[in-house]
Amino acid sequence: MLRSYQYTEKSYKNQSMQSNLFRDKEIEIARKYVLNHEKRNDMSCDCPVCKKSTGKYFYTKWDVDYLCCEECKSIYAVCDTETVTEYQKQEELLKLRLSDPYQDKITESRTEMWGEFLEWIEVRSYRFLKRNKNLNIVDVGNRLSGYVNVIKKSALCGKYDIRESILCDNTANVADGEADIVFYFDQMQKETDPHERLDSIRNMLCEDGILFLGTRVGSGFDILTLKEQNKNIYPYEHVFLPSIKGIRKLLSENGYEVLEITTPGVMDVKYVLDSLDKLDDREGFVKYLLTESEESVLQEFQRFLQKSCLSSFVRIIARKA
Amino acid sequence: MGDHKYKTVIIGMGRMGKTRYKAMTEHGGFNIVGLCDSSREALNDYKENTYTDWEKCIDSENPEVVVVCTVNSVIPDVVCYSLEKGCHVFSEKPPGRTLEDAMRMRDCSIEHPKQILKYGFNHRYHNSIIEAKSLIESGFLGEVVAARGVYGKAADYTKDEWRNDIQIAGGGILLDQGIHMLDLLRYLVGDFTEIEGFTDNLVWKDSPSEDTAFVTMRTADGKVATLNSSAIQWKHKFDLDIVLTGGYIALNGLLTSTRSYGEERITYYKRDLEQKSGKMGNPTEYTLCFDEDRSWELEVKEFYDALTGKGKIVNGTAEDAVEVMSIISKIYI
Repeated sequence: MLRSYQYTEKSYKNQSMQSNLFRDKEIEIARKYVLNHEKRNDMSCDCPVCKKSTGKYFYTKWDVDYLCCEECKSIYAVCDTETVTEYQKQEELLKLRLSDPYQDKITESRTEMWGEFLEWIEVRSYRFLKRNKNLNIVDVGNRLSGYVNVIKKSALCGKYDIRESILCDNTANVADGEADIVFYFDQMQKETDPHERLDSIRNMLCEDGILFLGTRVGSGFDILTLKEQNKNIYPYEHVFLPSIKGIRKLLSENGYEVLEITTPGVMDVKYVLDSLDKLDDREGFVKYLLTESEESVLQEFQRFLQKSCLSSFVRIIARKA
Repeated sequence: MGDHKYKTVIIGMGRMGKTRYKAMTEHGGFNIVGLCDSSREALNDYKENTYTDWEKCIDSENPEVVVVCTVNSVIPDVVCYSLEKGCHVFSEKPPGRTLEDAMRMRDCSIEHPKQILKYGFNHRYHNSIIEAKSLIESGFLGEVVAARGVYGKAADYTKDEWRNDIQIAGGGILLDQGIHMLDLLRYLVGDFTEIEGFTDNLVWKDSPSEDTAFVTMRTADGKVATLNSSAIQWKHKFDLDIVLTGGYIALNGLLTSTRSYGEERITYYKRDLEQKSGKMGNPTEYTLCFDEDRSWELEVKEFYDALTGKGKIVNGTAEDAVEVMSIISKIYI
């Protein structure tokens, strides 16, 4: 298994993943939904990885409790699958996400990043498949039309199939068992049964096919430090934040061999810096580090997080075992 | 692992013999029945039949596979004897002491085409090398134009050991360690047609074996590579830079059991003359670190797959051995 990291000289200060305007709207829709729905307060929710009630109270956000699994250290919300599904299908949320301004803004801000990302996919596909042109791609959950277009236009892409997406119904261009690669990015956070999802993805892959998985992880710096103060993590958009240990366990139990783990996240320091005033007083070291350090030190700290698999965004490459 | 377990003997139970014993046992496709070493002490901890005479070991055990981990001077005799006896052979590097040794074994292998002969150039199976090869083959960074390798260690040439006896070892640091980097340069850059260089005794003046070698090579299509092989680095060091038309690859460190060569890493970046990274001369780098060394396992697997007909010897062929010894012979003149 490879442990890898991406080192970039780009300053964390200039990083931005999403327009604040749309992010705030999404958060507002989520908050309204959560506050208007009854919450479970029984604390008996099973860990989505270990399938046991091994979770201990971690924090509460908008009256929704989040637990941390004692065994695998994954973080998960106490909630029902039906509630999460209903949240995801809300008309107001879908309308916002499918709107042209939303899609256009994201395309504008992320096109360069997507290009770099697909180059990385090309390199890794060649490494593990010995081929990286005209591949059968299944893209699970992609909701960004600009990104779909970039993928479709790349040399990487032969047949393209999108599934579980708000953009359209399943296109079924790639039959089960015929996908060279499956993209499963930024979706695991919404899963209440990740085992089922990974099992179904495994069925999509061809014999030597590989899964590219990207998700926020509960063992990352900003998530563990900020807890409920993390603006970017909220119910029911994020109900499952697996730890690195948890993801490895999930993949192993569902018939995958992990080939590579990377935490190339560049936003941890910025996210915590942005919420510095809300940090718990007990976070003395983190407060000192972030308030008293020069930019170069913080850049180096972010690099340390990347290198040590401690950033809160993970990319994993796995293949059928 | 396939079904057949090959009856195997290991000749030479020093550090490399023990390493191969472990890798082959873990693989499961080899039934190790006999071990041989000139020192009885080296055989004490093993339950297999033991010998101090390698011919007797091969004759008595009648193995299908002979693993040769002896000192350099003995390698050609054991390899050729084994091939002539109808055994498949896995031999440690270097392939003897001279180009003539390597050619003798290659010729013997040609005369016995049913037998597999593979040499242990295990560096090719290190993760950073596998990644570099894949990056080069993918064409992502363009064509290789140049490479420079530095491979060094801290050696005490006054120690009473076989490596310091030129009659047994056949050479100094270039033949002992530099040979790995030469093999990698051939593997990643291509076959060299122009070879220049020299050896020297910069510190160990009285030793008949060189403590330093500098080599410059060029392929027929103009790719250039250099090597500095050093016994006087005074620490373990492995660095390999590869310059391509559209980018750069740097390999630093090599994961070993002692971790003395440091963390094994490969860093690559694309040429960024438009300064997309925002900083002149400082493009976005991608670095991969490796936390496991499967080189021994992968090397044994290739050998086993060739034995069973599932694959063929791609790395460490008899021809690879002759080519790399040919380079060394030109420097040793």
